[in-house]
Amino acid sequence: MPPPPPSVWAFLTTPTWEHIGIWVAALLTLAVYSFLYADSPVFRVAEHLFVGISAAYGAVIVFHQALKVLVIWPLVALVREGLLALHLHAYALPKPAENVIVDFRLYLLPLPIILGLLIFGRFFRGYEWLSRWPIAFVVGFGAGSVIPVTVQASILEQGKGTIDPFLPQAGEVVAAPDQLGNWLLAAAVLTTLSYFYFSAPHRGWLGRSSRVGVWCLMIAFGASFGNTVMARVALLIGRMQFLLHDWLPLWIPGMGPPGN
Amino acid sequence: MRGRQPTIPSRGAGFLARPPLRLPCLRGEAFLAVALALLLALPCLSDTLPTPTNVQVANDDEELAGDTLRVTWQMPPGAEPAPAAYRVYVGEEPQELKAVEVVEGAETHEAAVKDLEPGGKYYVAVGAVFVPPDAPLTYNPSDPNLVTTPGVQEAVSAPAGPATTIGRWYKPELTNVLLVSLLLCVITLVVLHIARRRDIYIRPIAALQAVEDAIGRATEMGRPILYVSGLGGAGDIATIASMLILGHLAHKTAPYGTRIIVPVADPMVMATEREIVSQSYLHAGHPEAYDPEDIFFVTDSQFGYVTAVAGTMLREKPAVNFFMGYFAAESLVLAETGNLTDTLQIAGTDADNQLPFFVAACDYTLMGEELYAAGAYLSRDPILLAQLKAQDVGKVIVSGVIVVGIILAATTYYVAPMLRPVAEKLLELLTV
Repeated sequence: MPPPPPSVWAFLTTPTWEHIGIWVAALLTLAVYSFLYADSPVFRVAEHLFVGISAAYGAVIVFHQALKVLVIWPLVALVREGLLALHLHAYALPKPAENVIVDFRLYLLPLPIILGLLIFGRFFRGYEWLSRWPIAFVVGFGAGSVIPVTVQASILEQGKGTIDPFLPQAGEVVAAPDQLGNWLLAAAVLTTLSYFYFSAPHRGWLGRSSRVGVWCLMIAFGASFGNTVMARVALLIGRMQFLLHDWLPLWIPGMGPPGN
Repeated sequence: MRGRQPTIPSRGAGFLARPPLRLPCLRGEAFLAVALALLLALPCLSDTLPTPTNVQVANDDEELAGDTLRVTWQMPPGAEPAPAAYRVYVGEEPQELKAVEVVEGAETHEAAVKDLEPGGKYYVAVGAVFVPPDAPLTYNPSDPNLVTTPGVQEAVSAPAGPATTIGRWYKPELTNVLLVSLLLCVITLVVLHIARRRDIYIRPIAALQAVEDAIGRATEMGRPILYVSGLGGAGDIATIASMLILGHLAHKTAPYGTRIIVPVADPMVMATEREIVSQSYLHAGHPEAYDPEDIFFVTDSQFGYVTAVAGTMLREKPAVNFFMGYFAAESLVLAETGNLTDTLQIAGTDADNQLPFFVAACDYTLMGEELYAAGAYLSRDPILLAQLKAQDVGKVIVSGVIVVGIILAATTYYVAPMLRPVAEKLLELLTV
């Protein structure tokens, strides 16, 4: 016979870290769900906890995974290399804790560091314009780097993927339903493309084509919607299982779904 | 190779570490029988395990970065027992190799070793991993040095190499991508030349026409506008498009003193949006109306951000919610919360998985490329208009290629098989 689950009294008198964790998680879950009724102090507590903890966690991650690895240790290595090159061995910094590869890229390190520091220009009156340089770099790089990827994925691959099914291997026979599917797919691609044509009014044949394109989009959206709703329901079930299986028996002994 | 201490287990170490085999005092036939049994059992012992042979290592020419080596090997014909997996060892010295990858299956005889240093010289060895019959192979994928199957044995080849990793500046397979990109650039320049001389027509987009109404609604109600630019970084195309819309909104609302509240999930986006909004207020002649506190960083955690934005919606009671940019699973939470507060909502994203939720829960939605067109549509800037027009030309060309390709392929299949080489050539041109 399994031991009875601990009661509220047992929790209060002899709490364990596991039980405390379950209680905190359950109460925060309920606090967030209280939003479904209305905004309340309970929800606000959960909201601010969530935001505060996640922001702090993000800061710690950035420090350990970006600042330390990409800036601090490489900078230490760079200064060390410089001092050694000048034969100032007595002043050389200790070897960085992380394994830093010393090659030509290390000497380019000051560039991104300076670019990153320029963003702090926003805090100094009269020097706000300095922060535009890193912004321009990030935006320009982001926009430029995506061009080849887009050309590859959205133009060439899409075009090939639409034509390819019409050209099976020599001697291969395509079943009639598959042939129909290929033609429908091609029609959907072309009509949807016509919907995104902005240079002419959507009247006449272009209007009719774009209307068919919108229908194709909506059919795809419907399928995607249903698929995602299923995934969300699975998440809800997961939360309910946590509350009913893990939390409820902690404070009402014997409660919980059968078989718990 | 980055930061690992190479070690290579000695061949058959587990077997050799056992206490020496002691033969009892046997005489005559009994001794012969035992000797024969040992002889037959010899192939099962670790010293006779088949070892990978003909290990070849070379730079992986498919990788531009020059950080990958391709390793191939063979097993002796009819080798028994068959290995459960192979373990690839790499190191800069032949006697200091470490396991970097486990390749499951006896039939796989090649592997790509990634994340090496470009220009580095590396030695490679391959170990055939044998596990006891019916024992599953267990190992830590993130640390191939840890193969944890009890009784595992390994026969490691002699080190091969060295091979040098070589980076490349040009990948010939992507020539078609380069040509299409150049073609689009040329089209953009030509259209820009035209756009500077005459007006360019852009068809009406309902969601963008509603932007003016939304500004009017917020102003009349005396309530703020909530502008959410999604989870994308400052370099994300959807975020850049979103910033253009935000700039237009700020320019339009500045004269009326309508607040725009912009909670942000990325510090760089916050800095960029503050810059854009302040410039818009300045150009509108109302720099004093700009309040940097209205554009604030929340957190980069997806659902932490959503929780905060949902709370802001309930407390600030904005007249209009804008969701423009890249969104993920949070889209429905945001749009539904906005719906609960009976707010006019205009959304736009290029994340096609999230579009259904915006279509269902928002009053107006900019779908995919409409988001990119928004900046040009709202600002009427010739450069942006030229880009939009060039994209349209590109779409016509792509549609034409698809139609020609389909006609060619269908003709090949249904009518004229002799056209197959032409159709295949066209497909080859589109292949990356």
